[in-house]
Amino acid sequence: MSHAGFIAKRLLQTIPLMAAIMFLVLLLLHVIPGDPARAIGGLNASEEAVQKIRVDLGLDKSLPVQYLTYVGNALQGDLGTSTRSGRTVNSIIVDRMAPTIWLLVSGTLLSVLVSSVVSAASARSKDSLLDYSLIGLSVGGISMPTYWVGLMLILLVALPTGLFPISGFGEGFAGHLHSIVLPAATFAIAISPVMIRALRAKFIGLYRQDFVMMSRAADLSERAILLRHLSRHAAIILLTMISVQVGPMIFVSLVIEKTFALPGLGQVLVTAVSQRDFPIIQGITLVTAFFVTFVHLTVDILVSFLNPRGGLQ
Amino acid sequence: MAPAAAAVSTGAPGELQRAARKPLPAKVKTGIGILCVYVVLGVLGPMLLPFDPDKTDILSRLQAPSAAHWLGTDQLGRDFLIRLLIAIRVDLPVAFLAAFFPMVIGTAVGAVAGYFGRLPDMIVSRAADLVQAFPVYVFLLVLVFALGSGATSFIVAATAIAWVGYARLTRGEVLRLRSLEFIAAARVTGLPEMNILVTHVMPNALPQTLIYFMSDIVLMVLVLSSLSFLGVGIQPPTAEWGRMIAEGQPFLHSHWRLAVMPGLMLMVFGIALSLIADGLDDWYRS
Repeated sequence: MSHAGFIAKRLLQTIPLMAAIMFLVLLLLHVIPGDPARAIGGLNASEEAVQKIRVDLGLDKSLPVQYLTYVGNALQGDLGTSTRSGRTVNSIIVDRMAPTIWLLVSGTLLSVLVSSVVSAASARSKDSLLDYSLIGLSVGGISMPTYWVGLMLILLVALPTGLFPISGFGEGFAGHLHSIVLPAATFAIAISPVMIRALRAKFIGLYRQDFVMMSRAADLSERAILLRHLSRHAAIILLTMISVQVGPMIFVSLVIEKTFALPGLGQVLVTAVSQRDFPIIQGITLVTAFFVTFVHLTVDILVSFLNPRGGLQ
Repeated sequence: MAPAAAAVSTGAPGELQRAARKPLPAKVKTGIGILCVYVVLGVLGPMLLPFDPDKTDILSRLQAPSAAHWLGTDQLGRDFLIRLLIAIRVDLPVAFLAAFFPMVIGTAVGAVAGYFGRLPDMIVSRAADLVQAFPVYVFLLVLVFALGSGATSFIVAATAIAWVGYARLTRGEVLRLRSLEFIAAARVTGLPEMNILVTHVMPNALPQTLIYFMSDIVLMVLVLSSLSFLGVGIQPPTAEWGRMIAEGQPFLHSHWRLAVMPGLMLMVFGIALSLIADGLDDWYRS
């Protein structure tokens, strides 16, 4: 199959997926036990207020009508209106997405950097003390709750040195960068261990291969072998890991936002949950689900370019 | 161990019998040892301490460790040690069940999909794709909220999501095993297909599931405590480690033990299960 054909097929596959995602997001409203409108309004809300919520959310209509309305609105970029503040969900999401994107991007870059270096070092000296301590550290990393890692960085790094802000997002580019350091480090501690495991296994396999032996025989430096021959394989693994991990990454960043009081989408979601503001909850769930779909799609296409021998499905 | 015993009785290929005869690796023993300590502490600890874990006493808040309160008191004057220990009764069983139900359902679904193929396989694979397209833990958070915060909602929501991992794993294993000779031999004898699946295929697919289950419990205890940290999981005043860390955060500077210790409890528990999973993996492979 040609590349264009593969990409077209992959794009077409996402359409039913997105339709199903929107259906599940709509269904969220219906898994609320009892009367959703009453649950959202609260026990003290008047019957008129509850009726208004019912009409606003379209709960008075049949499910197929609700679905079509929801899809129609979402396709036009209308994700509804907050039941608390009356602002549109779109404007709230656009206003608050910057810290989340900063955290996701910087955290992912840092994780990729850390896991590449650690796994290459660990695989080069397989079964050495260094290898075992790095594996041990990554097991510890997997077992620690993310928000707690963040608090430990505050306790052990930020408070004693006073070098990093412990909450907020700062002012301007430099301020953002300064306040994202510890959150991004927390992110990397949570996400790298899984990447390290996958990459280390791949590197160990690669170091045993003929072409590495040949390159060594041809007197290529270890660095050249790593950069010239192994980086493409490592890139494929890393991209795949990002694709697999993007869901956990989003969750981890929501939790980190709360830890470091970053005013991003995670904070919006947590506030919306405590206020039972359903349109916001649905909007953020939908946007993150679309983001995950987008990342899966992009990675599949990128990997198909990097790995022409792998075969296109 | 049940799966190994079943495999022995059915005369499946040698890997399991060989594994069953070897002694358990030190990693597994260490992990089980730590788990036993947790269980004993969780069961006996709160009985031996003369405090009510939920009774607040504002006058004796934030006390330093003393002869009466070995780990001091928290921000509401409750004995910190008893809360740390009684939380074992929440975190461990909830995480266990939140991994156990998905395991049962996912394994059954994956086995049927992998063994019978065609329509069942297609339905399961598409459903799995759909769940995987979601940022699963964000969805879990929202689902727990929609169902109403608490342990039951968490277990229900986790089951709705986490079965996918088990289904994929089992499906793959069953597909692999189905093509092996001893299964073809069982077919030739004319055994009913369901019978072959249950008595010959599954005992060999289960070790991988068991290993995955161990790491899934770690994941679930971390997700549960994260949700509680965010205020969506276990509700106060019930003692739960994630919730306790959230409550301790404002006192990080002055009373660090309030946020540090529940995290250590979580971490050591996670390491114990990772050791068991890793050790079992080595054991089955070697």
